Amino acid sequence: METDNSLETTSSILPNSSPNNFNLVKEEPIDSDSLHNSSPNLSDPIISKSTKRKEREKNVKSSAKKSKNVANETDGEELPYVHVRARRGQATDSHSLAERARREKINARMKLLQELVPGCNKISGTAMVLDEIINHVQSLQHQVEFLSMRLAAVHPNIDINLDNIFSAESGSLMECSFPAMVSPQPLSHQLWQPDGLTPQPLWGVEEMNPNFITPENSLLSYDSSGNSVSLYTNQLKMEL
Amino acid sequence: MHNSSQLKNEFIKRWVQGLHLYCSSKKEMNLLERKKKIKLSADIALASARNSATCWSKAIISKAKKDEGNTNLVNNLSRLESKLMYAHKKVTCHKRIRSKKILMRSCGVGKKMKPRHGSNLPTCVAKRLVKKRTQVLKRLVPGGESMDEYSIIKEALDYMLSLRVQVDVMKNLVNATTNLN
Repeated sequence: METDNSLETTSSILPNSSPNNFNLVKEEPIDSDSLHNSSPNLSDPIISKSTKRKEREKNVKSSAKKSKNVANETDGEELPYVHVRARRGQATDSHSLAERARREKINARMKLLQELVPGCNKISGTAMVLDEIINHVQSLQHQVEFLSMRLAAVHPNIDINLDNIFSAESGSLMECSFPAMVSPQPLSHQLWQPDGLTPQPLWGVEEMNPNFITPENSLLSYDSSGNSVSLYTNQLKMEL
Repeated sequence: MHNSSQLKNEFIKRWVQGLHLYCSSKKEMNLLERKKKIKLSADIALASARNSATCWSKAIISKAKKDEGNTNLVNNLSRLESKLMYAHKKVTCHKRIRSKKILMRSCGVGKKMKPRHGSNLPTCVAKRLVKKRTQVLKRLVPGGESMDEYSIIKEALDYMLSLRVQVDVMKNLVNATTNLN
């Protein structure tokens, strides 16, 4: 009876459980025999209190301490933070309380990370989320390696890369007072026009004119990434 | 959270400055060297764009500083003079955390040996899994070894966001250059 109660309370509360129940979530499904010791959730104090008390009678350890704990903690459930519940068998000393607070902090952070990493929302359990995060960070790092290799391969030297970036930079930072930085490159000065509507006269390369038609169209769109890409292409075509 | 477009702009600015330094040196570089330089300048640009607000950025900068022949760094340093102090602080922080860990470990050994209830076995398993993964994460994030579990998560968060920015910018660049060729 008590077992059922506890199971019910814990399972019903699970959806709205605060992050500090991460550890509980992991515990309960695995070991149902000793499920009784799982600490009650805050939203159902009375039932859980009674079940906890009964369960504790079966066990040898500190039952009195535990009930006091529960009473204290259910009082404190209105507090916005530091819901500390010592587990059964753990003394309510400062170490375990601190440990608990620390864990809750960690779990809160883990939630943030879960939202950031794509596809992590459905995963439950700290270890799995950490797995995903590790994979993501690793893939990003590999991508950086790969992209830098490609950049190195594309350009025989870093010069063209540089002019490229200058123009792109000018494109994406239109609102900033950027041309000051572009001074080493007189070419970019000539090219740099806020509206970018007349590329042809500036790039006096006749045979390249047909290539300018499409970039010119794309120049008219001022969304930052598109702009920077189109300016990249313009600049590079000019260079060649 | 920081503004990602702002970060992007900062990153591009600094990366350009860094690359400019490299192209002004007239050496011939082979593919791998070029790649390394590009990556290095990108990393430093990213780290400095974060203004050393985070541990990983300081770690990157201090690691790069150790290598000689990084003239890139010298110029970056002129922009980031205040960061020198942070880098030093980070080293001492590292030592402090390490010694703290040793102390905790020596005190905590007896505690861990205490027999727990059977219900704690899954907890132990879960804890071990999490611990393994945090160790891996610590190795991934630069400067992560000297952080405790809580801060490594925060750092990983920030590092991931910045890496995304870096990848975005580099992708745009690569696309632009490949469209051309």
